[in-house]
Amino acid sequence: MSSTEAKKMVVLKSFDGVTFEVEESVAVQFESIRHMFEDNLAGSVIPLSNIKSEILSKVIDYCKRHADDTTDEEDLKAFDADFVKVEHGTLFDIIRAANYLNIKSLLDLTCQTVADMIKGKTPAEIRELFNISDEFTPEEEEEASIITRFIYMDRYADC
Amino acid sequence: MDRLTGGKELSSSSKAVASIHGKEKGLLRCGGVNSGERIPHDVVTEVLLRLPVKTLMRFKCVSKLWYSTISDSDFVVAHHSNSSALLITFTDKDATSQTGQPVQRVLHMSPDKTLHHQASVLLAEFNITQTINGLFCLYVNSDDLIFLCNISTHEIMKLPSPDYTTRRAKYYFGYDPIKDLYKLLKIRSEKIDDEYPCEILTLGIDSSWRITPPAILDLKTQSICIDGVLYWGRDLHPNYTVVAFDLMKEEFRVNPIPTETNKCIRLNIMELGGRLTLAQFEECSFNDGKLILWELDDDQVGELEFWTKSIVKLPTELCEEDCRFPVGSLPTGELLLADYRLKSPMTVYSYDRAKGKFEKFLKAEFPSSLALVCREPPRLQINYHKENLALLEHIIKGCTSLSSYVPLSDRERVAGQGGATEQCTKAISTTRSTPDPEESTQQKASINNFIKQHKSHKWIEEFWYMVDGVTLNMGVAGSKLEKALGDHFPEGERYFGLENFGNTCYCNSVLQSLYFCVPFREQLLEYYSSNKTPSEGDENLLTCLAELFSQISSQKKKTGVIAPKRFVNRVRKQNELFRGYMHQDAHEFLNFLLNELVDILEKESHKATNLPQTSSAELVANGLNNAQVNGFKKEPLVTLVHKYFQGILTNETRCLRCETVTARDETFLDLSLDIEQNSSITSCLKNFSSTETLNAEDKFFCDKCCSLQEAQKRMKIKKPPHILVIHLKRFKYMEQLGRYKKLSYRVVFPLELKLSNTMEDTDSEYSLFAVVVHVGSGPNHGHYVSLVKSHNHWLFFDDENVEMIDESAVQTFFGSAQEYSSNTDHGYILFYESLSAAKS
Repeated sequence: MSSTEAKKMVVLKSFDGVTFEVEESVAVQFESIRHMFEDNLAGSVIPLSNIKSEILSKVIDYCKRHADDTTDEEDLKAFDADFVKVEHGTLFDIIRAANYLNIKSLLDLTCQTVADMIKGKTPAEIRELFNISDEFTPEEEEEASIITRFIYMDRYADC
Repeated sequence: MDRLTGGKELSSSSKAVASIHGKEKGLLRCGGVNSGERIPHDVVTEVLLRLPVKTLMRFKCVSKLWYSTISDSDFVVAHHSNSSALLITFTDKDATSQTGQPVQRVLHMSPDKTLHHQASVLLAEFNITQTINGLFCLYVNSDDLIFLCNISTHEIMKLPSPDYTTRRAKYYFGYDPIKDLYKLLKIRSEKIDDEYPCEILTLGIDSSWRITPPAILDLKTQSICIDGVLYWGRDLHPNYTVVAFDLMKEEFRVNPIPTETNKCIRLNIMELGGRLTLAQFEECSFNDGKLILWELDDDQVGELEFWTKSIVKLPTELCEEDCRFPVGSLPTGELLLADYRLKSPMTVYSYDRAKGKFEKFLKAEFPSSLALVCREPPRLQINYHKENLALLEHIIKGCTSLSSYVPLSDRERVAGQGGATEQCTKAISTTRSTPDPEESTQQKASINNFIKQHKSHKWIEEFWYMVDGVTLNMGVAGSKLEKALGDHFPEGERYFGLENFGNTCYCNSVLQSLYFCVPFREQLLEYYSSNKTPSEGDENLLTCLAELFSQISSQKKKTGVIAPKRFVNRVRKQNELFRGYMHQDAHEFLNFLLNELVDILEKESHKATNLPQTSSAELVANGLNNAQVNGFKKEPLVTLVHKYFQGILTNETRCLRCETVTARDETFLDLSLDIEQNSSITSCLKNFSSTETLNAEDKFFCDKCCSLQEAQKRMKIKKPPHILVIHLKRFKYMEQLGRYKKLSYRVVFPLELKLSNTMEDTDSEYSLFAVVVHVGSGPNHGHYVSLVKSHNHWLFFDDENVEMIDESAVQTFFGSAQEYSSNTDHGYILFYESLSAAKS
């Protein structure tokens, strides 16, 4: 980041019409829309039609912190830990935004959070959490269970 | 974070994710798209890549899409490269293993640096090979049986037996990274013409064992596989050598050990930075020591091999902590040092040779369920480990180990297409051909048969109970049960199997019996709802049991499986005896549990009555003022356990001189009865109450006569309990054998029991409602199941499984009239409920 040059700004517009002005040095972390402001389109508004303003502001916060190379690693870790302490719904919204904008470090952080969160859950809890409806029929369930659990094959069953 | 998670970069796995997704489009018939999907499935895949194998196995039944994602070959590969952990292996000669035999324990260290118990193998029955890519072989020498096991998924599959049965041989497992093939080398332990004959099996290629050039030296230690070569160190022999077996060329070679090595100090043979390394620890003075390392180098062409020596001085702090024994290495080339005499917490240091720096690498507690002792330095090994989701079938079948794994849902299609799979199918003559739907049903049936056959196979049974198995909460048996009961399914009743956490069947069988003791269950549920939120520190066996009962009774589904994890952990925490993974006595457990509950309830009520005012006033009001005769002595409290299980026995002694009868009351929670061949409960109870004459050495001190007199003694039931628990003493100590023996006597237990030897005039009538059954021929192994009567149906509970059985089937658990019978399922603890008490 050079302080002499005037900071280039990128303008983002959320799904609910709120605009955010972000320094280009921060916005470069948005891999998927990078080309839009790098192709000399600075100044024009980039619409993000599937991200709500509250989520977008959180994501921008995150990227600002991570673009600032003066923050030391410990602080950043603490910030990250705090950042993911949100409700499931918000967490999933952030994941979707991170996935859409292709922010690798944020996706990594949130995926790890979800992984830690679901580690001890039962399949039924998972279905509820992820809103999954394509359950097994009892017959399929039986097959899946038998094959998964006892993968003994009969081919050498001559002992 | 650290070295262990170093490989976990998003970029490495996202490639795999992309390809997984590309594939899924073709799989939509089994995948399906959810309209209400919370996050895109490619992100879900990212999340799944971060989960341990054990969790993934459980999540296979979340949905069809998850099942096919987790089974996908690219996912398996991506997960394998993503996962990293340490595998800590050692031989535990602790006395907690009941047989006193060494147990090989495998601990797993997850990236968050906590230790988990992964597997235990009783070495008396099995031998195991080195673990490579999460796979190892297990063999039973006496039977020439060899199995391939996946340590993460706990899958076991039998490998073909060698053509030449030898009864005594050693097996060594290796991996050729260039051809991506696993090989198993067998070396006979007996010499023929000065050589040890060898056979080899390439998994996925060979349908039977091939003969290879024999070994000229006798190899005793376990092999280490490095870069396609198996190595053995022989430092106990006059010829100090390293023997190598090249898995690609399939030939032996012998490297002499550097002459400078100190012959008095044990050599550790290990892998360090991808090279074979010999390590010796030399103590200089008390807190000073150095490590001498010899690495096997070659001249790049592979023709000449030579040893390179280096010396590492150990810092004082390591010596002080005794962490000076080389136990393993990391793939990044760091050496790991630890104290082989295991202590909890365990401390491991790493040494970076490039930087010359020592660092504390790990300090972690052992899982509380394990009591650990390792007495010999080379027995402790810490290996870098990657969990492997791969299905053994694909390794054995020859769809090369990881890369071309075929998801279950796709199997038919691929098999039909031919190609690699079909060739392998041809190669292995016994393999079935392309499955059609009908055949797959047959196959399912034969799998079931195979499981049944092997459940009775003693050692496999033991292995299953020993391994902390991956279980799925599928409730398959449950749905069958629901079908069987149909409209007769009792309103509000729940039939749930209990997961086995490695030999916890003794606990499960007792829990089911207690759960179906309806009045007791209701009291506990009431207790639970009135003490709903005990604070963390207040957790005890009572709250855990009440919580478990409430969990079962409040299930939405009518049948299924529940994991009594909290309860079992609590039991293990509370009592050392039940901490290990060994077989336990169900009666001992019941006893422990009931007494523990009494203690807790007494403490609670003690706390309550200690509140000011209430105590003495209430006691008087209740007519209990006589309780304070001695100031401190008070009437024993009647807890809910006493209310149902406690009965009173009277021990009557009649002095034969003055005819005075002295009666002493004893309370009991269960009756332990001696048993005889071809008897019944009634006759056992009669024996229990029979008159015994006290004479000779055993005279009775009569208070009236003030001297020792001959007397007659008998036990009578003064107050029969509401719930009568009868324990049959099937385990008898045989003095001439110096151990316990199981008595398989036939002891008839009636469904309706009349208790006639009571003090009361009227007979007490009881009805049988639960039986804990011991399965197996000996006291130290076997299995427990329970039979339960609920709403006039009999149910059979075997850990996770619940089945309906006919009332007439109960009599098959009486025992056998002949000593050696194939039926080893015997009633062990009987639960009777009083009919009069039930009515009132």
